[in-house]
Amino acid sequence: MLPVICWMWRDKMSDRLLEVTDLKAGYEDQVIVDGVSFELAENEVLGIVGESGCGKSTLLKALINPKEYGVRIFDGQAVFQGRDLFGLSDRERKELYGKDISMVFQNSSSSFHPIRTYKKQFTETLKSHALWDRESSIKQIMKTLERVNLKDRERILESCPYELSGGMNQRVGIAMAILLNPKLFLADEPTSALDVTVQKQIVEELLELHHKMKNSMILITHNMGVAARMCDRIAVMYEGKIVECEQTQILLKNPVHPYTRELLAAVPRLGRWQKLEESE
Amino acid sequence: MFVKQLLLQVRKDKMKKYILKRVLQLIPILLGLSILTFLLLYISPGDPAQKKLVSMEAMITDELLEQMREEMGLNRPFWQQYADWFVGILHGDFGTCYRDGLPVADKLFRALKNTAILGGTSMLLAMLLAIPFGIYSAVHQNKIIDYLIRFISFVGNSIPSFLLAVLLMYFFCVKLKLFPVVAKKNGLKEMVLPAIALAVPVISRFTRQVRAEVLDQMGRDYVHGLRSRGVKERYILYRNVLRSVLVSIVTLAGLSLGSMMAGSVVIETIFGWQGIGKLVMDSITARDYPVVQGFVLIFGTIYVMVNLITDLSYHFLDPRIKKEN
Amino acid sequence: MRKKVKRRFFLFLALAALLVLFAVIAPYFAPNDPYATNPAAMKAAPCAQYPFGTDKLGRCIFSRVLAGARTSIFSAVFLVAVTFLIGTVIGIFCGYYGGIFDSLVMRLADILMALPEMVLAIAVAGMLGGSMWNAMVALGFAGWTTYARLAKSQVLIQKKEAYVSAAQMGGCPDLHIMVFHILPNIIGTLVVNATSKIGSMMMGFAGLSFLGLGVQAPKAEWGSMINEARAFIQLTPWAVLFPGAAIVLTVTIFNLLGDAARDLLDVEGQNE
Repeated sequence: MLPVICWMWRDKMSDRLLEVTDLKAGYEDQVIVDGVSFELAENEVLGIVGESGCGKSTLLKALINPKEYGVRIFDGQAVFQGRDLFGLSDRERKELYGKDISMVFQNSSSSFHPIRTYKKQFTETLKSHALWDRESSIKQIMKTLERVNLKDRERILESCPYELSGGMNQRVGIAMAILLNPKLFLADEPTSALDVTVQKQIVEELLELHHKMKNSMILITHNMGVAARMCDRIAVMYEGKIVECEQTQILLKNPVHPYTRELLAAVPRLGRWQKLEESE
Repeated sequence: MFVKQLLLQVRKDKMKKYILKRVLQLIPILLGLSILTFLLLYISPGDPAQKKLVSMEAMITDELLEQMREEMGLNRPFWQQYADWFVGILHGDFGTCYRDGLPVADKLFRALKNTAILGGTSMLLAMLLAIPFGIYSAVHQNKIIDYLIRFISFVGNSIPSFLLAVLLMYFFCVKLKLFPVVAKKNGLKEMVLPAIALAVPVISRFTRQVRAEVLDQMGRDYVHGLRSRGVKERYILYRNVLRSVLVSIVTLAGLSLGSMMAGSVVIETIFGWQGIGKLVMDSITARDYPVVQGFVLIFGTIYVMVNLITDLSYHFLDPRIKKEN
Repeated sequence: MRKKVKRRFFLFLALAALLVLFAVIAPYFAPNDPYATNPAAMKAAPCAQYPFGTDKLGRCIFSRVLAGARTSIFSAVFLVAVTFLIGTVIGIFCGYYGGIFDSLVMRLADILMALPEMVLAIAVAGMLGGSMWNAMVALGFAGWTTYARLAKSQVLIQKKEAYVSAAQMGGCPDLHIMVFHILPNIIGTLVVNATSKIGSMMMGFAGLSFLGLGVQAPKAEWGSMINEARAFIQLTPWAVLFPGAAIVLTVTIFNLLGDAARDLLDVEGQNE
């Protein structure tokens, strides 16, 4: 299986937002991400699909903060808007992440302090990026909460993560991630921990946000259905390598790699695919 | 900020009921404590009359014994003796010393004040040193300063406080003549060494615990989340991690009070500080048991109250901790 | 990582075992009789005949330290072992049967735990009068409660497991279940907990002896030796320093053992 390099395909504004080249990363001596390369343009949603153990989490951790998660970078590069992500100083890192690059995790509430109110935690993030303003910031936060379709916004702000439901926490997590209008939005299984109906809602909401904010997203998931719905391009990851990377439509119609075919075949009710294609 | 939250909660009726329930639960324990204390007098052979005579250094004859027994009411039924004693306690009458017949309560509470001053200073000193040390040690994990702090706290935990006190006294009082050897009054200068000696074991335990807790919290998901949002390190440490560590700091403080109470007996004896610890040791030597009883009762009650307060505080510090059945 | 923790534990276990062994045989290596006073050589500095010097009565400190080793180490280990046994047995019964017995015992434990351990020990030892056994009783008076509480909570956790109900349904007698089914699963945690208490028990014992509430003169014990010598510390610092060093060294080793045991338990728990 040779590493496949994804070519840009859109004729829209084609600035490469993120460019990952030959990334080899892992833990201690073990190589988990084995020569991954891909590019991400502006206003594009890239899906990385694969089963557990294929290395997608490690890939994400490498892109966020390898030192933090104990990920070793053996080889390769990751360049975001011309900046080398692995060569950032701590201060540059603090400025970049949260503002230009933000993320949502599978279990959003665990990425927040469990017994502090959301209000305090939102404020704290704004203050860290020197974007806190006494008059306007609360309004800004409320507006963001509105964008993720949360009702009862005051109560939610005054609540702590442990007091709210999974779906609500996930929405708050998304709100936090889009608060500062990031250019790159990383989502690691954002809906996997939710009930199916809520999953569908969140997927639609994320898509809507993407259209409105015109940011770029990397969506990591093991759910081909979600990827098909949301992504412009899908990269299939298997055993640390990207085995196929193609525009969603083309991938769904004519999967080349045998593993991709297996993945697609594993999705039940093929009829749903046809419906998705029609609605696009 | 905290106090506001606290007051808001207390106003709620549910909270009041819970506090009341916990306070009521105290009563059987305090009662049991008083029974235990009362029984202490009987655990060694010989009856209290005999013991009193010994303490008074009087000759023990049968006549005297009978006289004393009548006086002390030892011929009455057991439960009546206890009831009388207990009622006396509630009125603040802790009985009279065997030796000199003076009321025990006066001596105890005067001495308690001195011990409280010493203990309070010591506890403050301990907190002011241990918490920063623990945090610093955790943040600079595995660097030289971390090993140094860990080593010192480990050693501090392994030195008995009496040994430390004797050594401190030797170096600073005798050799360097910085402090008086025998405390003539309970002044500031006299308090320095005893406070240090009392504080060292507490500092050692505290530092290790704080370090362990901070390290534990730093590995949690929410810290990764905070970093991924670019939150300042300062905020992560002081506003988030410390908030979580608070519960265990409060627990430790409560427990340390207990060890300080015991430590005060030793330290005050060595340095001659006129606190309740020294009073108790003197009384034990003189077989003046009512004082010992009073000591157990007072310290026990204080300890129980403090534990209750720390327990109640958990509810505010971490609302997720469910009340025990 | 796990191997390293395991190795550390066994290293300190071996050291501690050596220490206990030392405690047993040490007195036989004493160059002088620990109780023999020598008016000619009172407060003598360390020399060939008296490696650690002599105390105020001319007794060889080296020999007394060795003799004291037996007293100090044995009494602490013995005390922990006894309170551990009693407390654990009580705790297991409480956890398994519950009911009135459980409530009563836990009430009693609450009352005993209402006092800081050493405070109660000082009071009890004070009332009973000073002697080695009285000090042990004093320390053990409330000491069993922690073991009982821990054992009970562990049993309660195990009771929820399937194998317990399976054994009960199979007609297995209760005692059999407690000893052969539940106990092996919880013994690790319990023993580790006990190990970490040896150091503090040793210090408590030395403390009581220091106050005169434990081992009485002329019996050799490190705490009481320091007490005897502290008035003469200017003249005979060695009389304080050597027993002191012995205490610190011994407690350090047992504390290290306790730490290593706790680390081992943490690591084992992670792997489950």
